[in-house]
Amino acid sequence: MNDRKTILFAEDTIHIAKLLKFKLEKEGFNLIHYPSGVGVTEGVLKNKPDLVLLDIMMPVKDGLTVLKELKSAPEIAHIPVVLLTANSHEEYVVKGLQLGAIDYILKPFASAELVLRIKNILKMR
Amino acid sequence: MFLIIDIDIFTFLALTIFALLILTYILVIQVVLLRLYHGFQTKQQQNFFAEWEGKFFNYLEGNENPAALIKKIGRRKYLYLLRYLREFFLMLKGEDFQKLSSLINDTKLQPFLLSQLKSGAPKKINEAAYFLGLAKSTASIKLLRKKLKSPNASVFLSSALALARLNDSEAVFDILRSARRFKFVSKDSLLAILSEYSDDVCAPLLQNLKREKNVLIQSITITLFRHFKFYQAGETVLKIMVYSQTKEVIIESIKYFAGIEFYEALTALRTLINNPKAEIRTEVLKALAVLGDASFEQRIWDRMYDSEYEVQYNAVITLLKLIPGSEEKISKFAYSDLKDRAAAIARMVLSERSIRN
Amino acid sequence: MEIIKYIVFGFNSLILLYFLAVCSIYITLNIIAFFKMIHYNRTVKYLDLKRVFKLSNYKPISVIVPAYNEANGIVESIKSLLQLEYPDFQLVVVNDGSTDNTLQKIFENFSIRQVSFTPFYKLKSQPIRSVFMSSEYPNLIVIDKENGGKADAINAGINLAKSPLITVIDADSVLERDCLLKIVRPFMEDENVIAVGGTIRIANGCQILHGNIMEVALAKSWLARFQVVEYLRAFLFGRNGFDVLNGILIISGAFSCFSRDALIQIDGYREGCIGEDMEIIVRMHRKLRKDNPKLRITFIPDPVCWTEAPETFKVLRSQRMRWQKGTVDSILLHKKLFMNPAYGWIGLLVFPYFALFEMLGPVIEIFGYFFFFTSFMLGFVTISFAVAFLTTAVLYGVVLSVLSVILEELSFQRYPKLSQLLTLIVAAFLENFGYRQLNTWWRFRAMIEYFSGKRHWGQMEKKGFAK
Repeated sequence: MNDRKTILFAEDTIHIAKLLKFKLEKEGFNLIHYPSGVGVTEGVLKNKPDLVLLDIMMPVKDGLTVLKELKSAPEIAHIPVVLLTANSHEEYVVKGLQLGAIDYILKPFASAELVLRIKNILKMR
Repeated sequence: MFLIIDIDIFTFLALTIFALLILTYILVIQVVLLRLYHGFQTKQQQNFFAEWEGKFFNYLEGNENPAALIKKIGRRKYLYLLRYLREFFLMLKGEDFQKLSSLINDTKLQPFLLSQLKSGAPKKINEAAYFLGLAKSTASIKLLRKKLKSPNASVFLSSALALARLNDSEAVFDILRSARRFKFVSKDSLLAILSEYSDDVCAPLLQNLKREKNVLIQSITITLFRHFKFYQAGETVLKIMVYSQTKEVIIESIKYFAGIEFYEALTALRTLINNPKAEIRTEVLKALAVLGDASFEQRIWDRMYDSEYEVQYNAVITLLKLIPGSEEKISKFAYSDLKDRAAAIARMVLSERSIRN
Repeated sequence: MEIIKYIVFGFNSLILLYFLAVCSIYITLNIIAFFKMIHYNRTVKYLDLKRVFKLSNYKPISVIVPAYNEANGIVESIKSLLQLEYPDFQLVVVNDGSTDNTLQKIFENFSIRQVSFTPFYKLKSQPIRSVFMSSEYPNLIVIDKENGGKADAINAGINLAKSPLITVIDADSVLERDCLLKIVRPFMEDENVIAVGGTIRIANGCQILHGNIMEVALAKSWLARFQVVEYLRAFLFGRNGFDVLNGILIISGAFSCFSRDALIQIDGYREGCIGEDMEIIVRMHRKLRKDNPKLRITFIPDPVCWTEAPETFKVLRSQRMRWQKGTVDSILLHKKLFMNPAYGWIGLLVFPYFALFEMLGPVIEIFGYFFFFTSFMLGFVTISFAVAFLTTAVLYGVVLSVLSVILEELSFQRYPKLSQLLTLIVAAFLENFGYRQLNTWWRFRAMIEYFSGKRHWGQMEKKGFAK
């Protein structure tokens, strides 16, 4: 059994995306990266990752729109979604949790904390 | 034989225009060269990023000595490195951030940046100040304070931002007072900069507020208190609000009270709800949604007949938030008179609420 | 014979002076606007706009989108508008009696329910049939009304909008995500601001995905390229230069923001007007600034709104003729402002400038060319004069066009590739050898049509929102 878990993440800042990829791959995860909200829902349907990490403020299609789509597709609605956001705007965070996100992480973030949270969430499944 | 050519005004005009044309094309060449240079620099930068990335990620993970890592890079590439690190400074905190700042503060990068800061060129100063602030390099505070006095507006702004990030409370007052030197430094820019401070800047600000006469500084200070949720300023701000003649100061005070839930302000609000300025009435209504109680009900109802749309709108919203069971009363009112504007506003608010459910 | 010679010489000199003046004024405006740009860029650099929002007095905005027969693009437009970054805004879509299935498309995609609504204000507009809101997107409101044209639709939107700031956009404008954050800033910094215009850039050739600009590029057609240069020299760096005198007389309807109170005070947009976007600004100056000269109308230089420009002669011609008629309309309607010191710089400088150079300009130029060539043929003109004339009429324009491209390069640098910059330089040169003159000719024809009575919309055009 292949117990390498897959994480699909959408983040438009390239540097951060690369950092996340590096850190999470080191922890033993497979990473699939999308530079914006476009194509994420299709990607999740196709790859059925174990967790989805979404940046909220992305060009063209933002994280909340994608989240809505993910939670309304029955085959993938069970996949945990963590929101990563630079907004300390409570409105976006609350909205995200209402839409079904399981957790959120604010930027600036500590990568060690992010990794731990992700691991915890995946352990719970 | 004349050696001087006899030029009439028309030939002169034509020649001037030709000259302008040539001048313009010289500018074109300059601009193109500038582009090419930037393109070259960008390419260099990209190459550097690609090369450096792996080393950097490993450094974040491991225990490598930052100074040793920096030694491997030539001084000419320092700026590329800093620009690469910029995003990370803004996005990371905790241990990652410590490692990042170490990369600047414990290596040759710091003296490099300090020397840039000492130079005369605004561009260099601004960039250096920016990174020193991001990295929280306390060694740069003295120099930055000096740069605050600069007549150049962008230098002032970048030093102020750096000092705010460095949490240098001594500089707060210099920043507030110097801003008046520059016409275009707006309240927004000052707030953006000052909100980078951590909340221990509030105590000295409060001390100052007690004797502050300048309304702009009063207004900014009170806004910051709201941002930092600094409860201790309650009484002082209340005193100021009651005696102030400036609309902005009053509005910021009301917002502050709502933000920290300072109920002692209610008595003052009881009067302010009828203030001649519509923006103040609006703000009071918004605050009452948080602070008010049933004793305000009649006063708020009266505001529904206000002459200003904004006031009426907020009166309805506040009633719905504040008084339980008011929805029925408002509903009745909303459909009682189809032509009345207050009723129309009430109808709209009720529609919005019902559609959300 | 001598007298005739002198008269001819006199006329020709006046015409020469005119060409000299037109171009010189534009060059001055370009340079003024450029310095404003630099100043603006410097201030915006240090601001994290979203963060400051919470701290400052940012007001809610109602974005009004008049729509007529936009079934093809309306759903995508609305979807991308709903994603605009602004914590407190309302989207008001006004269906102006479309004859296609615009309304149907909206119903299908946004969980629409009918609500009962009465307008808060009484601006003139055709009757509203019904009002709808979305249960999924609480800030979306859709108005269905009888057809009445763009100005009419906007008025209906204003009557029902709930925010103190009203932003008006075209349904097919492509907006950048933070456009609302940017356009609201002048209102924040100065409470005397009553209207702000956004700067329009040409979208032709750009890569657009779901209503977002993915990549800025130049169109392949030279006509579009000429228009890019034209927008830079005439609008961005041109008329906006008048901002220093608080003298902006026109802001684009594709993206502009107003204080609602100001709009209500002047009774909203004028119906049946051809150039409603200019007319309303002129009227604001006339009615509001006389008693309160401190009020300001300004613009933001950020390229936040992109629009598709015509790429065929036919469509371009009808657009330019319509613009000219609109200008004439607005100027004649408010001729009271002409040389009227009660209106400060607007009355004494800007309005006369528009009247003489923008309105009468094409007539003077066409007449000028004609007169010059005839007198040249008849031998009344010296070689040196002829050279001076042609240089001023054509080459001086090249200086202006190339200058504006350079200024764009030094301020915004929106075209990332060097090849694009070079193409623009070439376009700047070429546009003066035919394109500009063609424009003048069209505008001249528009003047003739206007004054011979064909000033109103034809049957087809009245119903739609032409640009």
